[in-house]
Amino acid sequence: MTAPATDALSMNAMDLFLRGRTVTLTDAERAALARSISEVRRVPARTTLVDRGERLHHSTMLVDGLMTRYIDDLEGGRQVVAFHVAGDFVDLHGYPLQTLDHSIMGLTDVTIGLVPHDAIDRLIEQDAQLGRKLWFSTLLDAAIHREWLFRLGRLDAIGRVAHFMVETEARLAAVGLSDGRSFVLPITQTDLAEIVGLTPIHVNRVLRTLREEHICTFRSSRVDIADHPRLARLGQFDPTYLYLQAAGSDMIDTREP
Amino acid sequence: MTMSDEHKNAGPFTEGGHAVAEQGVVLLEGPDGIAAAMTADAAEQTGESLIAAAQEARRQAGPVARD
Repeated sequence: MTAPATDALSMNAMDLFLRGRTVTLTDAERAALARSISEVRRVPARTTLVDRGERLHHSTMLVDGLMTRYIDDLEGGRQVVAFHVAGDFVDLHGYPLQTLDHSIMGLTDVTIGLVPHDAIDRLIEQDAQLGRKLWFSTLLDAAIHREWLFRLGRLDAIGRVAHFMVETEARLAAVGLSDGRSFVLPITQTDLAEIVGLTPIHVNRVLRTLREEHICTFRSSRVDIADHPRLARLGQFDPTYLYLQAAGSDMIDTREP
Repeated sequence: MTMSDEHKNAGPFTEGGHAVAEQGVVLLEGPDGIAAAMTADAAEQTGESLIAAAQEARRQAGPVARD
């Protein structure tokens, strides 16, 4: 479903972009980006918006909902390579790259804002500082990718799930969608398995362990974190890579000796 | 990194993994970041292969260990 870009929706989208990060937008930059949104779309859950290799002429700002970047193997297995929350540019790297090396899908019903690449051309030409901030956004993506490599390469099953939960809590909190202990996460255990590189059965066992140990409960699309420090330790979570402002007391670098 | 730095990745794992059965599937946890799910048949094949390889590794390491 498409809808013309409205000022209110566009501003809402850009209000969340880079919110709470070490690099933020000025009001003027936010307004300029909002004006660059050509169209707002509402898309049903489980819709693939961009296929791997597809030529891109716009980048997608996620206004509401959850999205993933994913790559499927030849047997039909799926690895989620990025997870996106409201306020994220889902494929800003598609602006310089022009094609994507992964596909993009909404896990939930989503509202997205489309920013044409020629509009980004003009923004960058007119405002070099805004251009650097867009660059920062793609570098933030890269930092998260590095952390996901660490997660998949070094952490055991419970550590991977714990890391994802703590990371997601931190990212949602940055855009006002978590109170630090609870948040809505309308994804399936199969989605979670594809995110952390485990089978659904393995994920189910890990979630049961986390619940029985009174650390974290994931039930009915809701996550309740009862013991945040322990969950962060299990996931060896160091929030440095999220480049968040004013990390709170929960943002402990658990990798410090 | 200096020559004296030792990293956990530098050598083979010295602690074994732990396997459990869950919903008719074998889940292998560890060592380290290994997390795999296998059918019972695949788990048995893996176990037999691991034991055979361990015996061969002991044979290979034997003369060196005695030096």
